[in-house]
Amino acid sequence: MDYQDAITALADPTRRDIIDRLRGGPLPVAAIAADMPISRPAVSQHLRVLSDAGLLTVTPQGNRRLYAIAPEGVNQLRRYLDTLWADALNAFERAAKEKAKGGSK
Amino acid sequence: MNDPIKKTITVPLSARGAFDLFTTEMDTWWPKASHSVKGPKSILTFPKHKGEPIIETGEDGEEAIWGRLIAYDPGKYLAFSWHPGRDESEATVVAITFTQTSTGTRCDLTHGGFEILGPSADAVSISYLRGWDLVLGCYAGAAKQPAFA
Repeated sequence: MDYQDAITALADPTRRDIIDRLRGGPLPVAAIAADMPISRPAVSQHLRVLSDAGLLTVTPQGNRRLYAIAPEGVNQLRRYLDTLWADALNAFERAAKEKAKGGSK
Repeated sequence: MNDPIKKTITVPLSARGAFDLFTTEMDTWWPKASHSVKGPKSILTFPKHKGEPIIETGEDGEEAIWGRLIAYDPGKYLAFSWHPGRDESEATVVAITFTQTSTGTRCDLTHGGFEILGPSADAVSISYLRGWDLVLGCYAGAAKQPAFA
């Protein structure tokens, strides 16, 4: 699911570093990779993971591609957690009403 | 954006009744079909002592640890780390207060980082937690930049 993918993607410090570098605005891979201690193909691989997790957008511009933070990415995380607790607390409420009636196990 | 998630619900039970239902009786109501690691037939075991794990046991006997108790004050307050399906180093924190009202008990749930525990938090027991920042803080801080408005 999106939530799991995003957490997994952000668990890696290099990928968090990439997100940090994109705070100022969209960048091509060459600018992102500049002075990073890993190879450019490795950076590209991290960019792919972040994109697949819905955390980055990729926009072709001429013969290069611009990477940017996807504002929607974090909303997916919040929505997932929000749904989780809404579901859980609804179930909790139903069980509480049963228990109040003396119908609980 | 990285504010904690907050949920409030009032149930027709005493504070102690609501607390026990949420904790030791969690297996009877948790929506395992949609929200579990091991599936609908697994068993949830909720601990009573600080530091002990919340365990989901699958049909095959394999265990998944969902989190650990950080605070356990029956009828009043509950806090636990939360990382179902994830490594403990990626844990977030859930805290719930139980407040008796004229109609039952109000349960206020907050899901966020360890800062939601406030100044009384035991630094030793939560020092490894950085999950909420990891999940939302780092990313949300970046996403808020005006370049993306």
